[in-house]
Amino acid sequence: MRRIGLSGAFLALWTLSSLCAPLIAPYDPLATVGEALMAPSAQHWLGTDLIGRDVFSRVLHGGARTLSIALIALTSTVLIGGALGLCAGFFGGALDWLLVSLSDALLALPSLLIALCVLTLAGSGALQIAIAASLSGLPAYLRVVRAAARQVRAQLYIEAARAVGASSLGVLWRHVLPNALPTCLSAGVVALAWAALNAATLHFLGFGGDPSAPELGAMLAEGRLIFRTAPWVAFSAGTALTLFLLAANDVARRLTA
Amino acid sequence: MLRFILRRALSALVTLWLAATLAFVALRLAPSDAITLQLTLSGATEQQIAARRAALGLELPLSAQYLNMLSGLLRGDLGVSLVNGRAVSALIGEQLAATLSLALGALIVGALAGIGLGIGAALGSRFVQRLAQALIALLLATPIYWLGTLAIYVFAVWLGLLPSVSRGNSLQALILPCGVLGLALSGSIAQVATAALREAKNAPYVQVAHAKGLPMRLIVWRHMLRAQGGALISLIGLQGGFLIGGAVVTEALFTRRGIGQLLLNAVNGRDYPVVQGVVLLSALAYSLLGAAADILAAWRDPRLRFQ
Repeated sequence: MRRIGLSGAFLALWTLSSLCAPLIAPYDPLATVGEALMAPSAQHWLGTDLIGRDVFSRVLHGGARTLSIALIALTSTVLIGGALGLCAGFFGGALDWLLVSLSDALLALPSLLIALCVLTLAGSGALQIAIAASLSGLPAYLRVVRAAARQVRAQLYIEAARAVGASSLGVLWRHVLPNALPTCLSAGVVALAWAALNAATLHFLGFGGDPSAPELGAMLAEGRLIFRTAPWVAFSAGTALTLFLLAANDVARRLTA
Repeated sequence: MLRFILRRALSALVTLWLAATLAFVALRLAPSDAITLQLTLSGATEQQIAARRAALGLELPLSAQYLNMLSGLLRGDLGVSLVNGRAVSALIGEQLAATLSLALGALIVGALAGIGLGIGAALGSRFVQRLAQALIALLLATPIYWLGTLAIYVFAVWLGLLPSVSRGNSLQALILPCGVLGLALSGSIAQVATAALREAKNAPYVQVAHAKGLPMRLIVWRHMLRAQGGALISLIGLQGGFLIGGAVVTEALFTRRGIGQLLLNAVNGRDYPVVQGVVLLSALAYSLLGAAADILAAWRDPRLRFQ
């Protein structure tokens, strides 16, 4: 835990404040609680937005929304990509070939474009964005896990386990998975950062469904238009997003180091 | 060399074919498409909708549609837009110049800034190293639209130097969008450049150059960058995908005309042929750029041809 230090603590704090956002937030993020475009003050720490909603409360709730969408996306990426990647790397053969060519084709498409294809099919909304973000992160995650599994497969202890008669699935579960886990973990943190970034980008582009719901990317899109008169709206959302990505990237780097 | 080029071109073609197939399969799984959506909204009867779909070839069996698409692709025909009935290739052609100049400018900015930052982070004095590393981390964590919002504020609103809305391809209109997209791109280039240069720092040929008494500047430019150039070129070639995704966001940010705007409108209108056309175009750009970069790297360094 000491290895991931400050960034890990920040991510933990973020998660905690997301979980208790309704308790901590001083105001209702959807309600008009003051005059429009008030500058930051003791009453409204980060000011108010175009229709007088409290920006601090919106950043708290928005961060929670970005994080939860990213976590939903991450769960499916890790479960599907992890399982497929482990099998592809461990068993090899036709399955490996098929999965590698498929992920190659997906990697040839920019992840934002994959996400936009999903939204073309499924319409806009938070769940759709989660699916889109998960699918666009899938090929890269699969490739990393596959490479780790291949590396483990070549180790001597795998041969030994086989020699004493362990079944393939047993070896996969008892030996390959635990040894590939550190790689899976750090790739997972990278995938989390990617999913959060993609989710915020899609919200920024206006595919978030409900426009009043607070989300960091959507707040940036809103705040951008009033940046001249009220820079605090975009500034709060943008800084929060950057801090989150900075911490996640740092944790991922430290986990691999 | 010829064999290497052929092999690389073939693998680019296979990737392209797979991407086309994937895009086809995905977009045909659609629950409702633009025609049904449009006509239902305007109150057309079911027969009218069916007639319109048949006229556009959407009622044929899937295998026939697939073959149609592939043969069309070979002829450069990407189908027609479901919304306004114009050829997708013409729609894309109109917007291509704007996006290409944006992407090219960004690639140059990104490569220069990335390699510069990489040199700083790997070879600078202690302070410069720290600074460059912090900058790289910050660049990697800043979404394009946030960087762009700040840049617009500083250069267009505060200093009043450049236009905040970018029209056309004049130098003045291109500086901000290219700069923003290029800087967003430079983070990952800088990361790899740092790693490559750190590795080269302790290599015997660098020690020999030091021992000969060459100045640091010459060692970096004449020796290290040349030796690590192949990896850098291949990496920059791999950024094609990121460039296109980034161009979509950058164009939305600067309300610039281009492929990005075309794509976003098509996604909103569920205009599948247009979305598919843009997806194929970006797969093509990715494969072409990747293949070109690999071939360039192999031309510089014959060892790469046999890996």
